[in-house]
Amino acid sequence: MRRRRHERDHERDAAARPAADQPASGPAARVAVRDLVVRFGSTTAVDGLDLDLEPGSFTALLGPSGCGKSTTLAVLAGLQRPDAGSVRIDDVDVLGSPPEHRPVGLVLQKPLLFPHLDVARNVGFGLRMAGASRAHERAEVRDMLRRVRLDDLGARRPHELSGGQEQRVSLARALLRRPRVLLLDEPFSQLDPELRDDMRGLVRRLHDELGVTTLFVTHDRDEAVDVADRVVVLDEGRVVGAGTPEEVYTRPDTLATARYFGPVNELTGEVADGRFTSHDGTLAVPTGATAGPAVLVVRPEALALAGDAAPAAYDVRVAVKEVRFAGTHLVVETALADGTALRAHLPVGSAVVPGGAARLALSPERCHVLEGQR
Amino acid sequence: MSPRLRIALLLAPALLVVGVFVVGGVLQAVLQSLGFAPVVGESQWSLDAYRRVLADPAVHASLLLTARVSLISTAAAAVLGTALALLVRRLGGRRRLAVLFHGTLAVPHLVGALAIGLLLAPSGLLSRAAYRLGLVDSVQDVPALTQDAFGWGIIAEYTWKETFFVAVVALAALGRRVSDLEDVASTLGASRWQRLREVTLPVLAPPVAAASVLVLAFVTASYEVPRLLGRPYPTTLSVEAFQRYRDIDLTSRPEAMALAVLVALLTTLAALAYLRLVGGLARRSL
Repeated sequence: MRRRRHERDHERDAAARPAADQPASGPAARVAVRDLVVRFGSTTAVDGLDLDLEPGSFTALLGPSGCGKSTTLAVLAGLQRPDAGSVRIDDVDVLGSPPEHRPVGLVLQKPLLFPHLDVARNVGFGLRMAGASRAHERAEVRDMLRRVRLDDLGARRPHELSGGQEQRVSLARALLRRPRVLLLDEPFSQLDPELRDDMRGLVRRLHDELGVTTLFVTHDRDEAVDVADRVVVLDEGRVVGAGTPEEVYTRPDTLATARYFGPVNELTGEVADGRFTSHDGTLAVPTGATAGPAVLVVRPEALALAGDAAPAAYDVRVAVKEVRFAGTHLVVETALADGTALRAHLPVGSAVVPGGAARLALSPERCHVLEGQR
Repeated sequence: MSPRLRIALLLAPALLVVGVFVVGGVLQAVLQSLGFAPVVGESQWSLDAYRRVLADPAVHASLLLTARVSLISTAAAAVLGTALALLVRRLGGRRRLAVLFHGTLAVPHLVGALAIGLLLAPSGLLSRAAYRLGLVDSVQDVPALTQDAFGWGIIAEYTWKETFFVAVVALAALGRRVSDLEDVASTLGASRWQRLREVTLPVLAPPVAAASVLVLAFVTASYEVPRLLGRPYPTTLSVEAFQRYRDIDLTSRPEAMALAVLVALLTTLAALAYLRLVGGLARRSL
């Protein structure tokens, strides 16, 4: 007996997107990258990179231009063959699989919408490639366009959209296949700042709704801190720091990470008997670091102007070199007795004048000692 | 001096040449096709020349041959040029092969027609090779491919030359952006064939179509190849027009001009289609 058409369509649609009916947290995958090496001629773009993404996590891969973050993403997507290493998605080695067989969605810096298709056909592209019926495609596209707030734009052509709308279509297109890993390669870098904030919120909301494991490449530390649960800092193809945004900001693993997250004061010295002592001896703070040469890092906003009361244990005397108004605070450039520069962010109206002296209060719990670094 | 005046003055020599030789020539053809021929004592305006050529079976045969040759050549060049561009991209070395393509473009059609003649004529290389290989008993057994009724020789020449033209256009369109679109399609689950069918060919279609319209316009109006490789009858519209133009009977001059105007109208339509396609292409790439 011939089967009814909608029954066949239903089976085809189920095959086209097996994860569609699973709960939002279901499709998320665990990703493990080990000893990844990618070379372009004599240049090593990725140099022994290890990376773990927990199911449903939102990780930002942060680093300066040319540090290998986009190359790493391309390897995960199957668009770049590595020279060495392994990439496992839920314990399955995917390096031998072409991009179309990987459970990965990709959104790039440019929206790269198919110019010959309207918005709805762009968004439904992945389902069509998997053989879904038109009815199923239309229903899914409608739902996804609603999620990205483009309900009424299905019939538009890509050239009729704004930059933000194009990027939302690109995101919807990548998500419609219900990928188990979503890769975002600086997707907002070409948008203006307000639109960027809006898109960050949208991406975060979609991640929370769909629960997909997300890796977000950016060189913008504010963006990384704002949107991700975990930040991995890359430098010259290697991971130089990882943790929650607060951890990598306040307790970075390396000087490179500390510097990448904005202005930081670095004081070289030695750790002995549970104390870090700066080389000129003017500063000594308790630390759990092991004995030996070390660098104490402290953010400018962790320094405060000491009051007129008697000096506290961790106050330091400084010469004020320069004071600049920065809107929400004053940037105060100072120097210790041995000439070591120390920058402080003080409240507007603080009593500091260039050429004068000041006493800065240092809070040991806001200092971080990096062992064995210079 | 205002920038507009400066541009106008800079363009003046070129505009003068275009104005005198092209616009003047077209105007003269239109006037003569409408019966204005003081040389033979005709100055009555009429559409008689158009009526006569449109009722003439020789013109019908000519129109059919012109349409057949131009459509088959254009379609073949579009398909082969696109395939060649895709093949070259796949093989790599795009730049070196593109230079080879440009070199082929520089060969004049006249030389191309002579080369095709040497290759496909009854006593040409192909016939002799077939005879030497024992495929035929004599060179006369090879079907005529030049001066034939169908126009295979003309089609072969245009296809050869214009394939490289389309390939150059297609290669230029197959830039980084198309590769990126193909990459995105692959991450959306598209197999190699799906990428070709759903992304590459649709993206290539507008530039290839624009190039094809140019090819169609050129082939419809060109003269030397059908003159060298075609039969005296039926022949293409441009050759037919020239034959009537050279007729010792000057009263057939308006018919020649009517045919020339018809060819010009066909190529104008093709040019308009081209501009429309290019306009659409520009909007898409915004």
